[in-house]
Amino acid sequence: MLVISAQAVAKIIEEAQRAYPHEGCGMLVGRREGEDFVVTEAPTAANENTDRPKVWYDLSPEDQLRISRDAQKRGLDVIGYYHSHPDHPAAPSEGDRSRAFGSFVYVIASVEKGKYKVMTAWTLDDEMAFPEHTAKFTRVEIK
Amino acid sequence: MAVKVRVPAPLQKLTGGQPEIQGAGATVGDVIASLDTKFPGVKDKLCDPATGKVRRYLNVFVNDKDVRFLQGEATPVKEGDEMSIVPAIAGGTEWGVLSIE
Repeated sequence: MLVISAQAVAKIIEEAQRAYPHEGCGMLVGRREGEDFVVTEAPTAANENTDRPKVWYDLSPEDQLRISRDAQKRGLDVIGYYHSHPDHPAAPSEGDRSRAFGSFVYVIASVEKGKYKVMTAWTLDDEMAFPEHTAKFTRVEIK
Repeated sequence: MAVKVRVPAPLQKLTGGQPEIQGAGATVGDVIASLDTKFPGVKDKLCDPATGKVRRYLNVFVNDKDVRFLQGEATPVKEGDEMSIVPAIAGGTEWGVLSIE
């Protein structure tokens, strides 16, 4: 289960709408409690993709380094990521699956014509099984 | 040289849940090798066994610098440096969404 703060949900929606028609992205900061993901913050990160940002995101490694350091200093950790699907459903894509890592939770927010619609959460059923992993996504309940 | 290494969640299953571990060596490659002696399997997760290079979907930083823009695995490290392993996060709807509801 994903237990996410209202503040983090608001941040994801804000970023998904701000980035439209591009894909927006960010990180999910919090802690693991057993099988649950407890997300307290959802800081934004830059989508560094410049050639097709409407259909692809490359989350800034520098933003990731900064945010994860800050989280660990406060006893928290990066436990997942989010991104938006402009004018596409809030379901994972083959691109998402091919680049996903196990142990993280992935939130996908759909945006239609600039307006937020819905978000879903997913985990991968395997770890970092590179190079061409065959792991599948499993849906995670959001609370 | 002792170096602090920050590892992401997917690797923490190999490090006993620790987000920060200690490595040692004179280069990034040395440090990765030292981690594998303490936490077997870590090197294979980080590096392509065929080339010995850091996998393309991972970024390794020494302090604030991505080693790809330095000397890669040969990048020197010094006492007190911080090495961070950062997954290269990406994706998108380029090929459509999956029907897995």
